[in-house]
Amino acid sequence: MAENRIDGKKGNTKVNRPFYFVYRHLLIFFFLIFSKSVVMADEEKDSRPFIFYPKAYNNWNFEMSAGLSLTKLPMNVVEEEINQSPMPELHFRLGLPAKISLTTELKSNYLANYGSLGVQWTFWKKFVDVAVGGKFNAWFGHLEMESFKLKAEGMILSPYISLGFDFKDFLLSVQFETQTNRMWTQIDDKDIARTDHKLSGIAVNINAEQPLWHNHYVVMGVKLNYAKFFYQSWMSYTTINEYLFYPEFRFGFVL
Amino acid sequence: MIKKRILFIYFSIIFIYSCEFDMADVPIPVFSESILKNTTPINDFIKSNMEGVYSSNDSKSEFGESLVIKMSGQHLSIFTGKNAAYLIFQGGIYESSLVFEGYWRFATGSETGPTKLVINNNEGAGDLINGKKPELLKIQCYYYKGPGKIEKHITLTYKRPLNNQPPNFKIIGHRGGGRNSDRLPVSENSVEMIMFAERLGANAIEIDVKLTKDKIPVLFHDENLSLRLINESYFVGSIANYTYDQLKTFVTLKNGGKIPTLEEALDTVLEKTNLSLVWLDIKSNGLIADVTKVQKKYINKAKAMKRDLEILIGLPSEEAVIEYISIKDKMDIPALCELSLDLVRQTNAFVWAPRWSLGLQSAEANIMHSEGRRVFTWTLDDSQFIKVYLEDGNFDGILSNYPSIVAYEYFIR
Amino acid sequence: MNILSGKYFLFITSLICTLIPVSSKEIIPDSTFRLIFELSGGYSAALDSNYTDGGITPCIRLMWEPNRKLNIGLETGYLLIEKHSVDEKKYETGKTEMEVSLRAIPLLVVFNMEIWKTDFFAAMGASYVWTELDAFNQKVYSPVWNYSLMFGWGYTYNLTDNFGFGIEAKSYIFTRLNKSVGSMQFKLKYCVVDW
Repeated sequence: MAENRIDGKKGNTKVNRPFYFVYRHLLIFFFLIFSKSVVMADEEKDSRPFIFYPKAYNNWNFEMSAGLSLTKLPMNVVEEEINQSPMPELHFRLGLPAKISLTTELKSNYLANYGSLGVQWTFWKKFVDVAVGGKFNAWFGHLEMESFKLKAEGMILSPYISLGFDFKDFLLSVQFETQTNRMWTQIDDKDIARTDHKLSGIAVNINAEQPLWHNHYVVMGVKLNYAKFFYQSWMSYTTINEYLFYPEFRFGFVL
Repeated sequence: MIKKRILFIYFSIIFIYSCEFDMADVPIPVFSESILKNTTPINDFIKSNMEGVYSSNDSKSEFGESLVIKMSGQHLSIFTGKNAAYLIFQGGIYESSLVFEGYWRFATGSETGPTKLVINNNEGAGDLINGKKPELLKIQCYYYKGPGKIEKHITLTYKRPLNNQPPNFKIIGHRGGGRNSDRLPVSENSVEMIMFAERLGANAIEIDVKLTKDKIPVLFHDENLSLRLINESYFVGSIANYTYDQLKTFVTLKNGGKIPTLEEALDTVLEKTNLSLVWLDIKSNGLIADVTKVQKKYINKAKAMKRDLEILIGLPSEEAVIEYISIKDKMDIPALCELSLDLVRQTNAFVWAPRWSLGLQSAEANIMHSEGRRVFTWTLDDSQFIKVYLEDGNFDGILSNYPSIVAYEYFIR
Repeated sequence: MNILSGKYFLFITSLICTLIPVSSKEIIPDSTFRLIFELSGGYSAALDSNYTDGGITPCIRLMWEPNRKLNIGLETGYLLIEKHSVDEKKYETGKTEMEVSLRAIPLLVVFNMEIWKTDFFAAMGASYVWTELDAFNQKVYSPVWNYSLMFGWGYTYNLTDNFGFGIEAKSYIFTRLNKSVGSMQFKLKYCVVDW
């Protein structure tokens, strides 16, 4: 057995480095971003069909995308049972006045079903487009077969800031979000428990949108979730009180 | 354009550090100098009179208001209702005091720290050492927390004996006592874990049995070898592809130890623990015949040693039921069935073990009780669920990866 | 920094690099679509080994090159992840020598893009991985499927419109094995059909 000797001095306790590292660098990064004064560009008509890129839409412009996401679930949580969780997904975005957009996301693999409603405001455009927003996410899961009569539902609040880099024939967006989660469990249709996580995780969502052929745009992305709870593995009822890595890969077509 | 490239590189650098983090091990914290050096061992009278429910003078501490103390062999364990915390100690008599040294740990996390307990002469130690039941029993608990290892102090006062209703309730440690993902100091399904289980509050264990290529029953949970359970990345695929000699020689378990045979595991249970029940979880088809031979041998060995030990073969699937039914002379092969009530009756299983996700199953449990059978449920880990299932359920045992939580909820009632 | 802990970073950076255009000016695309067959071979070794324990790695790839920058395709090949051998030795279980190797056949979806006249690519998919063990007079062949990623960089010199050759450096990541295998390869590229 490993030992950790204590002499009343600092022990060899592992500090949660990733969080401190990311947050410290986020502060430095925002200082870089805001070191020049904000100049809002005049609104340009942009005919490129993007969904994730934070640039403001033209009023009442609507886009949608359809694709597939694949989440790699940590082995400590799911062991051998589920390695990956594929989920077909749909994304919608509607442009409103005052550089506001409404966003909706729907995903399902029957065992876990997810929907989100969000709003974002593009407030800066110079060499990078910046938007802030928030999403209210709701999910429900059900497993009724053999020795399972489980249902669970939850909600996740995720405020975010999104940065966009326009390379003309491709658009790269990077979104930083935090997640607060609440989950309810029912067994045999009876409420059993409620679980709350005030800061259940953070995520960095990187998406690249570009034409694959002619003007047919595709979205390729990865969402790096660093979380204590992830709705796609709800049925594992993990009790591990640690932040674990859930990378979510995405590929879709902007329709 | 250049600014975009710089920012892009910046993001990339962030990802170097934030991409993937495995869970760090949680080493057992120890004091640089042991306080047990000049102590004499504590006797059974002291151990049995220390067991009980205690209250803390600081309900806001990490361990909450009420604590349960339980002895197992030479170890003293404390189970709490807050943070899924447990404490494990070894102790001794030092002059006219009782001293204990060990550590605290949050079962579902990684926080831990060294701890010592002191019972002073005038707070019960004197009476205990002299073979007298004390009127007042107080334990001074000093524990260390945080990176700076700040010392904290609480006083535990004995309130009442442990609850033991329903009697013979089984607190069953999963995979021998716990999982690798909970970063215990020993590997799941190992002899070391079997010896550790009682310190976590278990009075019974469940172990997973598979067959090697040369038909030797061994303890292993997963279908395939992987870095979840072993240290060698170059061994992959099913354990049934390897001989026992190959596994024993070249494979080491994640937190130390070797893959044990079923016989080694049951020898450990008999000779090194006071566990009262072993549930053999059969992990693949075609091995009931081989496993029941070992089961019979050790049931007879326990009888010869006058040891109160049940060994039940688990029947998790219909294929296992068919195999079991085909064995002649099943009277000496007690079984536990996880399936429907009809199959429980068909196999004449001693225990019905439905999965927790089917609910409390109170009506069905009553039927089983009326037929003289017991009911266990598995695998309950969430403390809220454990409390509900204990209070509202009608179970004779709970299988859990956190037997310390089950032990607390059971003994505190 | 252990390169293994940054495997996702390297993969994601490559994924992102596939999307950086050469120039910020919008390029007016032609309408030619191509199907490209690539054959490559070289040496590979686990990135945490002493590189002499590697082996020859062949690889084939079929890429769809539409009239834009991003190309998508499929790749498979064969590689040796690691191997160990121990001379005859006495153990508690008896005397034996031991030889063990871990090999893989990846099946990957590849995303590729030309940036600054070189190819950046990243891939994900599954690999058929197996152990071959010889010890105690028993041979073992034990397979399993594993999730895997790949990223790399390459350069191609086009001899003609339809044929070229080049070099590639890439890394395969086997997440459940916590292993990364680096590979240097020489490749031939042929346009099977264009339309």
